[in-house]
Formats: sequence, C-alpha cells, structure tokens
Amino acid sequence: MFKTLVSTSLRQATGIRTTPAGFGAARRFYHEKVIDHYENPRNMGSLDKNDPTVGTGLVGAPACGDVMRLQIKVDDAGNITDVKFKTFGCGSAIASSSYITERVRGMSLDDAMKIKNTEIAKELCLPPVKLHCSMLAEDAIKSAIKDFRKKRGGEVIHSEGAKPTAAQALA
Amino acid sequence: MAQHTATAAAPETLPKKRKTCWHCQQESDPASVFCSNNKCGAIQPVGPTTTYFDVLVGGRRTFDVDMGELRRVFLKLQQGVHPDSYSQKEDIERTLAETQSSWINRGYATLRDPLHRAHYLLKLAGRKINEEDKITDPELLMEVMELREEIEMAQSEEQMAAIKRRNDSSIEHVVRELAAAFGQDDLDRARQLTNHFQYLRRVSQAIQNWEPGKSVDIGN
Repeated sequence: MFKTLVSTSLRQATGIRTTPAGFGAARRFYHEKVIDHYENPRNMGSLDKNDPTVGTGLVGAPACGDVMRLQIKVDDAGNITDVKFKTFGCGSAIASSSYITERVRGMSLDDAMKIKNTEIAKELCLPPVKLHCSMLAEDAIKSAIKDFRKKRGGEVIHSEGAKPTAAQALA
Repeated sequence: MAQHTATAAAPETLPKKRKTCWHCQQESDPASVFCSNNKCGAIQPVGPTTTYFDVLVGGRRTFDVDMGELRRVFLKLQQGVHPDSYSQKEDIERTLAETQSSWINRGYATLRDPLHRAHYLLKLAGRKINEEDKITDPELLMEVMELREEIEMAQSEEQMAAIKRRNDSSIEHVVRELAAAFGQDDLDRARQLTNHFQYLRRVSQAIQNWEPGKSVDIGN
C-alpha cells in the first residue's frame, strides 16, 4: 500500500531524501493529518469536463512526476457547489488536494482564488521539503477557476460587490 | 602507495586549473582520481568542480554516452579505489578511497541511466529542474493522467502488458529526441523532454507496482 517508488539509484544520484519503503516508515514521515487525507481522500473523482458549469485545473510537478487534477462546479451566483480531485503523487500532494476540495466547497470563486498554499501547508503540518505540494494544490484551484472563467468567455462571475483582485486580473 | 591507474580524462580535455597533490606536493590534474605525477599516483580527493563526465567519460558533457565504454572505465576505476585495497594504508588514503568509491558509484548510476543523465546535464548547464517547478502543458498532463487512470483501472496482465509496450515505446522516442536536443544544445527542448521522461518513468514504476485491485501509490 505505502510504497516508495523512487529507486535507490535515483536517491543516490539526486541526494533526495526519501522515506524508506514500508508502511511504518511512511507513517512516521507523514503527519497524521496527511495520512488521514491519504487514507480517506475527500471528494476524489471527476466531473464532466465538457459541462459549461465545470472548470478543470490540471497541473504537474515534473521533478517528482506528480500530476493533479482539480474540478469545480459553479452555480450562477459564482459559488462552488461541487468539487472533485484526482492526484497521482506523494502523500502530501494527495492530502493537499484532498484538503483544498473540502476548503473550497461552498465558497465564492473570489474567495477560493485567495487561498494560499501556506494555509494548506499549515493545516497539514507539511515539512519545508513538501511545501511545493501545497503550492501545486493552490495552482490547481486557480487553474480550475481560470478554466471556468475562460469557458464563460470573459463573463465575470464573482460575488456581488466584490472587485476583481490583482490575482484575478493576472489569472 | 596506490598503483597509478589511468583516468578517463583525455589530455586535450584536461581542465586548465591545477591542484597540488596532498602527497607529493606537485601539481596534478584536479579531475584525476590519482595523482597524475607518475612517481606518486596517490589517490586524490574529489575536486569541488569535478563532474562525473570528467572522470567517467573523458570530460565530454554529452547525452550520447557509450555504455560499454562507460562500464569499462567505471569498473577499472572502481577496482583502483576499492576501500578493501586501502585497509593497510594511512587513514587519509582510506578515507579518500571511501569517498572516491561512493562518488564513482553515484557517477556511474547517474550516467548510465538516461533520465538521471539528462537531469545531470541540465543541472551542469544551470538549467536544473527543481522540486518547486510546475508545468501546465495540457497535452502532456492529459496524456499522463489518462495513462495513470488506465493503469489504475486495468484488470488483467494483458491490459498491463499493452500499456507497458506503449509506454516503453514512448520512452524510446523521448530518449532519441533528448539525444537530438542535447546534441543541438537546445536546452529548452531538453528540459521539456526531461520533464516528459520523468512522467513516463513514473508510469513505468506504476506499471511495475501494479497488482489487480491495488490503489494509488504514496511514492517519494
């Protein structure tokens, strides 16, 4: 179940510190919150990417070979009503994406856009070497929102009264 | 005194910088494993700027490495620095032998594997692929996502064998393209291809670890 897929030679060649193979070792390496999300991922699966109310974010971390897909379903008021993820990667990447699906459900797009990776990292107690996993999750939600907005052809969907932030302008 | 063993460095590729041998105090090639002064031949520390290519491939930084030649040079060097041959020597030589031996092993593991070799070449060129790097190339990510899901849902050995064949041929293709990109010094392209290769490698590992009904991995 818990497997260290990085070969010994890669570890030697790159000097990347990895957990020894085995369930127990992985348990000690990961925080219990990460293990919980890994063992009971929230909202894993997919939404129809061709549905006009669905935005899909697809991002990857090439150094680790991780790939993360995050999909949101948005109602007319610009609120996220459903969210699904699929991640192939390490425990921290899976936990980060699982956590963010819980976090953004029911949120307005504007608020979801403001989520920072530091919040995810803090919540999951990620060590510094795993911060990039939380950044990947932040990128995934931003990318999903961007995809949804693009589908709407520039039709601005955000909560009443809210002004587009700098991040949105750049997105 | 350790016997002088020829290093892979060809005379014309010797770095200009010199260093002083700790044993005979004479100038020696900084990339050579043993003092280049024939009368001395003492084992040397690994130079701070010495690359695996300097020691194992004659200094030429290339993706096209002759595997037979690499192995020949490696075995010869490994024999010369094997810590067992230094058990009766001074502490300093024993320590240097241990350092050289593990460094040469790492070098061989890096250069013999095309993916590790590509990463290493990019690192030497100052274009290292970092952990925090991200890609959004939809075509590649979609391909990888589909492959990984296919593996996850595969029910039979036959299905897996078909996926493996496809993946192996993609890897062969990427390796050929990498050789061309590095050959033309097109590092942007080489970086892209190395990213692609890294994903295909992960797919290979997922294939290897596949068992019917088994779920996602928690690698690295």
